[in-house]
Amino acid sequence: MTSNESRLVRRSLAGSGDAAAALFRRHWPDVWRVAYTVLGDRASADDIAQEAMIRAFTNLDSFDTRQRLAPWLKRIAFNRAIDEVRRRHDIPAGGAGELEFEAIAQVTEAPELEAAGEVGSAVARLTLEQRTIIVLHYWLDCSREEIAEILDIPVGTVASRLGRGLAQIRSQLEEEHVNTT
Amino acid sequence: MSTPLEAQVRAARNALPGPSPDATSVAEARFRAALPGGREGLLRRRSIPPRAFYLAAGIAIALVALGFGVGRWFGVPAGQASAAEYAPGFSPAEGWNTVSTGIPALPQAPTAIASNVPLDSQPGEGVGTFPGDTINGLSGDGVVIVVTLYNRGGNDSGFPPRSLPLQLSDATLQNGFEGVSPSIADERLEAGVGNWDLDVMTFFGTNPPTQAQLAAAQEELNRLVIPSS
Repeated sequence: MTSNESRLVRRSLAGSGDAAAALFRRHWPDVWRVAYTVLGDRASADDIAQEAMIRAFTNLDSFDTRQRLAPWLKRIAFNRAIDEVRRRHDIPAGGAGELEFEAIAQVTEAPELEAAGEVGSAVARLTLEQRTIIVLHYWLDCSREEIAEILDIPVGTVASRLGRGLAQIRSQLEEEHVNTT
Repeated sequence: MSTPLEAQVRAARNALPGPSPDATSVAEARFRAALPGGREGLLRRRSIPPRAFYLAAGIAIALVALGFGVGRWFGVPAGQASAAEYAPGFSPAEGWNTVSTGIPALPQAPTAIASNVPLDSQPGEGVGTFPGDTINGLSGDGVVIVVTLYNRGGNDSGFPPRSLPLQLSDATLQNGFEGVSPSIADERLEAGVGNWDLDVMTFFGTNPPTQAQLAAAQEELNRLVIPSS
């Protein structure tokens, strides 16, 4: 965490609405994009990202100030978005983590993203697990370690899913190229 | 090193939309509305007993009564209302009780207190008094930290420039504090941080303090936050 951000966090903890608002403006776009990546539409991302930010800052005293704020916020947004997916598709909470994630991964789509260019479309058609990791790593500049922290999975699993996601994108691009030539 | 495919994926990042300005405005407004209310929010989150809060609110008056710090009361110049927006305090930690006066009206000084024993008023120790009974009741590993803030440069000598977290190793052991038992150790630390002069008094239940007490006090000092201006 930069000293400036650290100072803003401390001021927020001390009750400064202006400091909290400054942190909101700094992190809102990426928190929104995490929610969008999971939920796949703007309206849902608006609601869930907003809830995530409020939840994070009303519990800011539980944040370990030695850590970076961004992954913590993204993790809250991701978990909140997953909760929303679970609610919509009646997937019970508390299942075995990996299996539950797989189940959720099968029921989410990103139709708006699908209309956004060849590669965007390929990313949109990935399963949620692959799409989330591709977006976090290549578009939101999260390191493998940060993704592992956000998704609460081992770094090795992140690397594996990144590889599988890229392979899937390559396959889709090749298929599309064949179909359009 | 990126493969051509990775470079292609990175280059497509613009495909990921961002929030609309309207959605951002609405979200920020709701975010601000949902935050705990300023200083009061901070105090609520720490579940401070109201009686302890009022006790702390009068501490600066008590300091004057004890002959401590007279002449160092600061003023917030007109037009600098933002200077009074934030409050000194300690980030929450298990085993520590904290109170803060917030930014009180002049001539009181912003003060934050942390104690690893119950910080409660005793009979005869009501609002407007220094927590002398709590300090005199210290024993064993008990520690009380009292931090008082003054506008930087508002006193004659000026405090040495330091940065947070303050180091207890920079403090000096005092020869007793008026009204406090000689069996209680009192370490005094002066620090100029940003726009503030900080007067930090740390009281220990044993004299001299043990290494464990000093370490515990240092950990709590690490959690001290002060207004930015």
